[in-house]
Amino acid sequence: MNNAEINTIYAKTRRIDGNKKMRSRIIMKNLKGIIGGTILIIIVLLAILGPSLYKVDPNSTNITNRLKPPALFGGCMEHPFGTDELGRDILSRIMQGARVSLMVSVSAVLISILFGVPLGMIAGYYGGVIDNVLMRIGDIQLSIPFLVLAIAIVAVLGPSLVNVVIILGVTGWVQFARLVRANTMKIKGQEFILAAKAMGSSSFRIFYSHILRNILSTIIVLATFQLALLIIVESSLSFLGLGVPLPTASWGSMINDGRNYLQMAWWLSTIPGCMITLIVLGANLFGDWLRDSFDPHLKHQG
Amino acid sequence: MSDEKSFIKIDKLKKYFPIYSGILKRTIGAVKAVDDVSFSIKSGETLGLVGESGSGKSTLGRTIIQLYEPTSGKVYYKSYDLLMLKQREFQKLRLNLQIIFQDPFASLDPRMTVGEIILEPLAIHKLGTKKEQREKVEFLMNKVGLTKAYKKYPHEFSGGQCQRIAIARALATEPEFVVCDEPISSLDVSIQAQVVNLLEELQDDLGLTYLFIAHDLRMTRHISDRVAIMYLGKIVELASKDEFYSHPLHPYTKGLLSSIPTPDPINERKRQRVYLKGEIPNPSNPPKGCRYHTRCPIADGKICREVEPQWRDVGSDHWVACHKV
Repeated sequence: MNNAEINTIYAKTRRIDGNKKMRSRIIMKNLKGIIGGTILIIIVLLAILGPSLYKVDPNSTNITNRLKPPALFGGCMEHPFGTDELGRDILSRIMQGARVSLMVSVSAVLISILFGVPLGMIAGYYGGVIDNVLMRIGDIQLSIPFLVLAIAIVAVLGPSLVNVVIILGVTGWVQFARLVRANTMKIKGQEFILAAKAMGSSSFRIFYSHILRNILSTIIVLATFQLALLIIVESSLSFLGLGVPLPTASWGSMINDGRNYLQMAWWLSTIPGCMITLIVLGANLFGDWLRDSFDPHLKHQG
Repeated sequence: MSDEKSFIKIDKLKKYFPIYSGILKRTIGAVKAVDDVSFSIKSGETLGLVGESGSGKSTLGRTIIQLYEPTSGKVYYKSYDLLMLKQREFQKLRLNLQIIFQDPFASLDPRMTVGEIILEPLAIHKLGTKKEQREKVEFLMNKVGLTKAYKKYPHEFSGGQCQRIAIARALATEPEFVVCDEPISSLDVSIQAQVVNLLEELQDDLGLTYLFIAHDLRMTRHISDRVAIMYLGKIVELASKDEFYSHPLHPYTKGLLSSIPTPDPINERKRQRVYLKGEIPNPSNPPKGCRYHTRCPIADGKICREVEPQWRDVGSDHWVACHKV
């Protein structure tokens, strides 16, 4: 064998090797995103499409058929996740709960962004008195324990889906405002903002076309983490009976309902609990991956 | 200074940056970045402004085009008193007064495409239709020697190319006066010449007037018609290029000029150096009298230490502020 042949053989093997390595490396690097994204997509599809594919009324009771275990644990295929203490189908209640959870948390996050981002930009950009006033209001709000505040608001307004969204949305603005403020302060000192001023940009234009553009990725990352947090908070409120009013199923209230039957029917609380864990895990993994892939400093590591 | 000829005229301009301290944020002093500066720039010329780091030359350039609000003094552009104008009136003049910054990467928004960056000034001032704006951007990109850059991002370009993008952006509104704030200092020497030649070419084509801020005296000699030297917030000498390089009067200028190495080794060996001793003093607490007396080789007597030298014309438009000239 001459050198050229050896070289081509080496080159071939190297290329195959490289391709395989490359592919597995790409997968390993984005593993978090793949797992988290898959979980989120499945749950979102479950919430959107579930009720039209699996047509069982989540609120129809059937006392003779109560406390049936899931199909895998000796139940029947009619109720794959079993039934609860009133004979309601757990799978359809889980789907309804997913709808509630996602609706509440997504709209609450959007409300927090709507308030938090502009306020944070104003505080960070103008500084001084405005900054101090806004941030101290935020501090005051954060110093009140969240659940106490939530109980107070529910006591005044009464529990309803809209009220839960309002409570979560209004209390969530501080997180966004703080993050946006810090990033705005960092960006406003850069030369391209000065250049924009030299061109005659209005402050509003600087806000939306320079600052917002540069902090959008961090806002998206925080939004995914907030989403996970708000799902837990919504469940806690429902668990305490302060969330979405009955009979609408919510994961939190399902856990609470199942508490009394924990010894004989563990699945009543465990299944919604697992769903909460799963969606929060999914959102956090996805958020982690988003942060890593948006941040150019972390990109080339590992 | 003949008034009818002056295009930009600066009169006793001051820019102090207050220093705050304590919880109550009381003002305890000020950095006197630009302190009582007067000169004028003629239409179509390039005025080189040279000084050490921290001498206030960038601040001066930025204050002239009203990026910073002056503490006191006046800036005239043609017949307009820029400080007396209302916001809306000044907004129209903005088009004519532009700036190119030192760091091309920092002065371009990293999340905008090159096309958007050059388009921005046109969009802000609503100049022309969308189609006309786009054509203008293409024209400008050609003018500065960039092709197929419209949809790319600044990080895909080198420093010199980014600086050309910044130049294209500054020229988009067809300005008459451009402050070049050390536009070549952060570039490789080989790229510096390219950018300087581009600036000169554009000046000839478009009839621009430059305030060219630099700390490289040789490059300044190449591009300037007149040269000014700045020290601790004050201009200490201003003269036409030939006069400045052949007959420097201020001891600081002499010191700076003697620090330029000569490429000829025989002349280099004979070169007489006036060494600048020490550091530039703190601009929040400048020395009394002549600001240069702490480092000046010829300073002596009370006059240098206690009396501020006058800014005077010593003939043929050669201005200097020194007691010993």
